[in-house]
Amino acid sequence: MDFFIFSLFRRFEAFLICETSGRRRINTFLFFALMIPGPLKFLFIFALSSRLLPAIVSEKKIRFFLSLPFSRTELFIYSFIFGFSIIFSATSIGWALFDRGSSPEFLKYFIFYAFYFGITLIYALKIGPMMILPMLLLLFDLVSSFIVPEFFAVSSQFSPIYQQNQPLALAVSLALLAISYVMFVFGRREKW
Amino acid sequence: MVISLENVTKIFGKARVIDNVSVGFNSGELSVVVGDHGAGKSSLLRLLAGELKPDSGKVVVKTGDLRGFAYENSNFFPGLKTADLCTVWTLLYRGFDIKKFRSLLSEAGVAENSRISHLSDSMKSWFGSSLVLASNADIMIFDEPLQYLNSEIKARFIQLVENEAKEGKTVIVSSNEIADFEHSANFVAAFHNGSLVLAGQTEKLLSSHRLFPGASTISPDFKVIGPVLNERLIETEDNIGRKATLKDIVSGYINGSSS
Repeated sequence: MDFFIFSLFRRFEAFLICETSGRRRINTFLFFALMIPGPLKFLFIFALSSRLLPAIVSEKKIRFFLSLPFSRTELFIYSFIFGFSIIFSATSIGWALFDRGSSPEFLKYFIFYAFYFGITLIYALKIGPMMILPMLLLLFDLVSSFIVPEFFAVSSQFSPIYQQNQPLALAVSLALLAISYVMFVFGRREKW
Repeated sequence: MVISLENVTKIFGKARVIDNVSVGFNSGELSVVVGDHGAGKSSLLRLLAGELKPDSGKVVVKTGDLRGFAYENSNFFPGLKTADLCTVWTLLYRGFDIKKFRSLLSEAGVAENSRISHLSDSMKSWFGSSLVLASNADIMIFDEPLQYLNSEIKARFIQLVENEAKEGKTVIVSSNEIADFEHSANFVAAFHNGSLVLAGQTEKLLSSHRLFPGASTISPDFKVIGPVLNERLIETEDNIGRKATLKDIVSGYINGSSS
């Protein structure tokens, strides 16, 4: 058991070296950007989620990872954990530095991150590298209250931004994440 | 068999890049997968390495065997340095031999802390092969490793993979040109348009094929495989006609399958 855990940590460390050394600039930028409190954080979480496994898939860098002894499940989990670790640590530091009045809304960020990690991965697997549709979805979610208020009344319940009904929003995000996992791990029509 | 494909088909879009292929690779052998561009060699290797999943059929790997894969045009992250990947491979392959890796890099003049994106194609190719050679993986897979190498380094690579095979590893190498492995391959698998047209032990292939002039009359008792320039390749163990090289045999089967 100890050996298994030790081996798992070694493998995660190997993944982290590839991610952090290979894309140092963008990861550093997003880390600092995510410290900033306020609604802009959602935009940076979106940017981060689309730069993780979805970008690795769409830019065909996944071939590099799959040529190493990583399973697809491992890559999915490592990438997701790595992304949320950045959000968690950057938000915690940002909260300690600039925003100690209110407690950080980690669950809210997790729901948003899981939703867009799933959406952008599905998009990368099925369509391609330009993240136009996920961006439009984010924009529509943001402004739907002004455009179609009737729709907003329903969508805001599970919307990853508004999360009026947080358990429902969490369920929707997790469902999308699960779909993206199944498509990535068991899909046979690879785009790489 | 250490690793094998059983009735594997792989489809990209509408193209059947691997068409119902069954082939196995043994330990202690240098196996060469040969064919023209687009024949399906890289897809086969990617299936063997676990990078792709078959649309039908299955890839069977002996339990516990670790695969090391060096692929053509390695698509590394731009920021990665050679030392980063050395650390990554040390973490992932317990038997990774850093001393051997450093020595291999120095043979081709690759600096130990170079940015991978700054390396030339030949250096990248050698770097990828060096990682696999130092990994001590049970199954070593190389996709077109000779493509960018000069003749001196090519000879060195062939010597290294021969040694790995002699030490009991399963070594699988793809190449456009079988002539490079004429004297070192133990097993040959030839592909044409996604189909396996030839698979066999080199010694057996060499002893069971002969060349005849194209114009000569050949008895119907002999199986004509296909044309090779002005001659025809025949399957026979009789000491007749001209002795065929491995290159002739592969050409005969590929030409025979296209005609």
